[in-house]
Amino acid sequence: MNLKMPIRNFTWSKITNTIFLLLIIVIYQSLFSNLLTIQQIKLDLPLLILVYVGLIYGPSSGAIFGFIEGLLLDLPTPFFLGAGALVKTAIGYLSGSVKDNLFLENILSKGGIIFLCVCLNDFWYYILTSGFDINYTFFVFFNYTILSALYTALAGLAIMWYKQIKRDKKITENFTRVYDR
Amino acid sequence: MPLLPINTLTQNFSTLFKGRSSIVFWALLILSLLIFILPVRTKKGFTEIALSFSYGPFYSLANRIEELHQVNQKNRVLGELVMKLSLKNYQLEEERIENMRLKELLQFKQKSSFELIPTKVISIEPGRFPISLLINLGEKDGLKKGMPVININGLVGKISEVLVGSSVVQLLFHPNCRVSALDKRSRVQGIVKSKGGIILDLGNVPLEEDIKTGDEIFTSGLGGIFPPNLRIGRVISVRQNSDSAFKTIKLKPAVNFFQLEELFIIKSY
Repeated sequence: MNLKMPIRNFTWSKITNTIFLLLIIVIYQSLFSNLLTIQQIKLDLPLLILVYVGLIYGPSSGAIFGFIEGLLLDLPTPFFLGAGALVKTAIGYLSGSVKDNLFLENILSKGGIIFLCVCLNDFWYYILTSGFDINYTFFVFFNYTILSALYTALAGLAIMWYKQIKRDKKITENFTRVYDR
Repeated sequence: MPLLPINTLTQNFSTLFKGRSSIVFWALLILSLLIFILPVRTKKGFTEIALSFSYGPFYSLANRIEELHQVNQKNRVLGELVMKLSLKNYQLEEERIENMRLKELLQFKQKSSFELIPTKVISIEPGRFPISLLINLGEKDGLKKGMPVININGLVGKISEVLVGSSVVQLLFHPNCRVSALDKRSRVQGIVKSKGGIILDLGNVPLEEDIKTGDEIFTSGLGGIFPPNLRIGRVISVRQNSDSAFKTIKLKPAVNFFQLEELFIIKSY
């Protein structure tokens, strides 16, 4: 799948990619979310995907994807329907804006962006859903959110490192082939 | 190069909310806010339908997997339980059989006119068929060489060697064992001996004597070692050889020599 297509080219492959990513999120939330949770510290894969979409496609795509993803994640808790969409729209837009405004070749920078996005996402979400209860929000933030953000950022870094190693290996192999001829 | 150039971020922060993409962003933000402030009843109606289409199949799959996992665990626990209970059942069955056997032995001992000493087999001489075995009583228990050994089915043999805490029993299959016997029906006498194998021979029976297949053979008591009226076996074949003065008679022993566990020694008769 060509995931690096610009947002302006609204093609079928883009829709397929979006559906595919949303499907991954739904499957993860329904089947694997609990398996990858360590001591109540969850891996925020949906947010990882959202940041990935924002960083690859830009702010508009990030915001749209964040809105749909947020709504999808809000479905099991109808009382807060819209809260997740609100927060994730903002996160998607911000991560997309970072792509436009920052030079992000360094993998660690991307890891830092993921960490910040998880922190912001959880902070805003708990502020909204707790009725602006600052004490509760900070309690959750310092006890769970930071660790969850770290966990998610590390997972993101691991994936990116793996992809980079694979890409480097492919490039090296090509060079060897040319040299051998 | 710093990981996150903060100055660049602040310089470009003002541009975040300009352009076409910001319109999309604000529109979605307002839409989200509107959804958030909708009445819960309205939201519930929407989410129920949407849930059944999105998460529904995966939730049911997750439930099915969980159920399978639970069934698997239960199965393992039940399997272990079945194994434990089977073992216990086997032990109880063994004890029941032993109990029955001991009861029979007790009844036999009470009915018997002999003075009997109960004993247990501790070892059997290995071979194709048993010819001698070891019992758990010896000299200190008052056993003497030549004492007859029986079980509830009949004659087993005699004590051939007495040790301090155990004794060797020479079985009827032993090549050196001879027992004076008689036919219960016709009172014809003979000598029971083994020619090797699990069948006994009744020898020294003249051709004209009346012995038939199926006749019960007992000890006659004439030899001085074994008391009379102990069952030895049943006649399974009678042959007349023209070149011999005696009949060839084969006996099937009354005792199953392959299942000897508890025995009695006849102390006096």
